Amino acid sequence: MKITTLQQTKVWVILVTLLVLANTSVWAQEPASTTYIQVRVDGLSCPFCAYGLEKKLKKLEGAKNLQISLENGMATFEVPTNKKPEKAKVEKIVTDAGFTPREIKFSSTPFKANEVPN
Amino acid sequence: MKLVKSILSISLLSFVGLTAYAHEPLYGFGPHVLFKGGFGPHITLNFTGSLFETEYALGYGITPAWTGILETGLSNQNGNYSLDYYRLKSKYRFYLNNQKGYSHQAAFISQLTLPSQPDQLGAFDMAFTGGREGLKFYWFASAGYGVVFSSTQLNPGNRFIYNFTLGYRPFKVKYYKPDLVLFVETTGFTHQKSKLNGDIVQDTGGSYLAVAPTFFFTYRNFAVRGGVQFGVWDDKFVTKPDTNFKLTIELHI
Repeated sequence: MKITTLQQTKVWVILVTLLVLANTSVWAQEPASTTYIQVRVDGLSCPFCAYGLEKKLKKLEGAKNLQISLENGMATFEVPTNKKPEKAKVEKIVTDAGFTPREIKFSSTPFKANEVPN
Repeated sequence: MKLVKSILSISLLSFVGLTAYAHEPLYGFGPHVLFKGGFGPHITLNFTGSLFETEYALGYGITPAWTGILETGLSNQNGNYSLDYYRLKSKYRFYLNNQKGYSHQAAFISQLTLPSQPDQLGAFDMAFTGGREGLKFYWFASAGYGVVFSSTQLNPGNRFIYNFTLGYRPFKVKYYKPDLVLFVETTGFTHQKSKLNGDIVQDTGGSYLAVAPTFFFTYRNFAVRGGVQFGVWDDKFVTKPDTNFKLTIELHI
């Protein structure tokens, strides 16, 4: 079966249309909003021992940009807002890692520089 | 009598095993437990004169406060290899006070040491241990008692061990950077008199004291713990231990 020039043109038109639509739908999407989470953690005194906390927090769906400060006793990270974990879940993660959760803050904007673990 | 001395020397070594966990004393024990669901594989290399021992251990965090550990020891002396023991260890942290920058903890340890061959010793040991882990300073204090059992007519006496350790972190700690802590450990040991066919063997039993400078280096979830122990004092029929070099490699996963 021979493919005519007209058929080839039709295929190209369909492909280009699909490509344009796909791109348009990506552009049309709202940028995913982010929730910033800051946890004050008591008992952080050693990077080796705190590794368990890092491992468990990273298992939270969508968690990224995790920072831990032993000096400030603090962990901060961010998640997509639609995957924001319950406070109780964050507390359980900290407890399972062997530490004591204190204040937990959720914010729609990044924490100030002096609030972020160094 | 050579047999008695030989058995006693093995008995001394097997009380605490070779493996040290995290910042715990290298020649004693401490309250550190693994995070829930965490695995802690270890390899320990131990040199005393011509005796070279290795211990393989795997810890698992059953709960945030309870860790189970399996250990087995191999040794090589003058080209003769032997599988020395299997050990099942439980560590339960019954006290935890976490504050900003430090943690006070206490734990109860129990361990069953099973001999790998009929003529070797077994033991059941229990110990209380506690201490502080801080950004700058560490201390640990521990005391344990062990019942030694044997399948022969010779029953080695029970044993008592105590350890006091101080630690200092010389550099400022950053979570994502390498970390170093230096320690000085003091370990005391008392062995009760042995019995042969139910009769006390007179020239057995005694005590010793040993001191060990040690270090703990970590990067992320990888740790190296090392040190050297010197015997400084002995009494009665237990001689102070020969100089010992030990290195432990540990991973938390």
